[in-house]
Amino acid sequence: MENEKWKDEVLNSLEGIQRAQPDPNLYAQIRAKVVAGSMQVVRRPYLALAAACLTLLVIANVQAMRQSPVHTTQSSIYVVDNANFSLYR
Amino acid sequence: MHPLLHQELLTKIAQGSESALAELYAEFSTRVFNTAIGYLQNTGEAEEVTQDVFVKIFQSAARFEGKSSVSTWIYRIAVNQSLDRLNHRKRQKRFGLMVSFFKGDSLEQKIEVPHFDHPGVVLERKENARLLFQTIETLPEQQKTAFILSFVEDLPRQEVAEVMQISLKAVESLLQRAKANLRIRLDDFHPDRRI
Repeated sequence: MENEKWKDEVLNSLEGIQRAQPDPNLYAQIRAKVVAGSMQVVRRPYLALAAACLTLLVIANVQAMRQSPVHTTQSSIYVVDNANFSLYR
Repeated sequence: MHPLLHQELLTKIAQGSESALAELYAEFSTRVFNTAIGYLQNTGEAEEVTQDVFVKIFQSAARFEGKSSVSTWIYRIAVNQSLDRLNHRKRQKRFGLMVSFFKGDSLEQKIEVPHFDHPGVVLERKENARLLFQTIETLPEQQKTAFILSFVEDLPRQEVAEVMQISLKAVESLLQRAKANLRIRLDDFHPDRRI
């Protein structure tokens, strides 16, 4: 019986509780985070543009390599004479 | 402040207004902080969660659809961020226990029981409130949320239901179960049973 009364007292111990207050400087920290976040958002389009340019450059290079024929020594107009280090047509 | 003014503030925040965020902070910071403190029982961590909540509000104000009041929406963010932080803490604790197990340390030393004195509790009830917070910590998530919003944050049951997105009846049932569980757990703390 006494135990139950004690439990009631514990369960009711939050009656009349006042709200706890955060640190007065907390908003300054939040503002700093928000500003840092906004700057990241501004930087992102430039990053995306740079990434897109790089991708285009790589694709263009790959295409160029595919289209241009590879010259073999047989089709070359110059033949090297290894013994004399001279060129013959 | 009128709920419509809250919506106006949120619209301005969505457009990037920092002064509107400052106004909304002045209106809701104590409620957010107090909710977080109910879950985390640690003022430092509750302040970190309060920061995260307002940064989130700034980032997602444009996505507010107005299906609930701004107050309900903010409470929902505060509850979710607090639960995320609690889960993160649990994971860290588990990792710590594993590390200490492999190091061969005593596990008992690593399990800390929080002793939290809520700064807003009346002086003569402080000891009982400390015990209550210790036992709240052991409740399942849903019961904990219903209990904290109802008794620490003192929200009307209807608003608790809206924050939790459940019916009023479900909130009352959760509170009944929470109280029954707290009574069972309080048995371990009764003055006659303590060594």
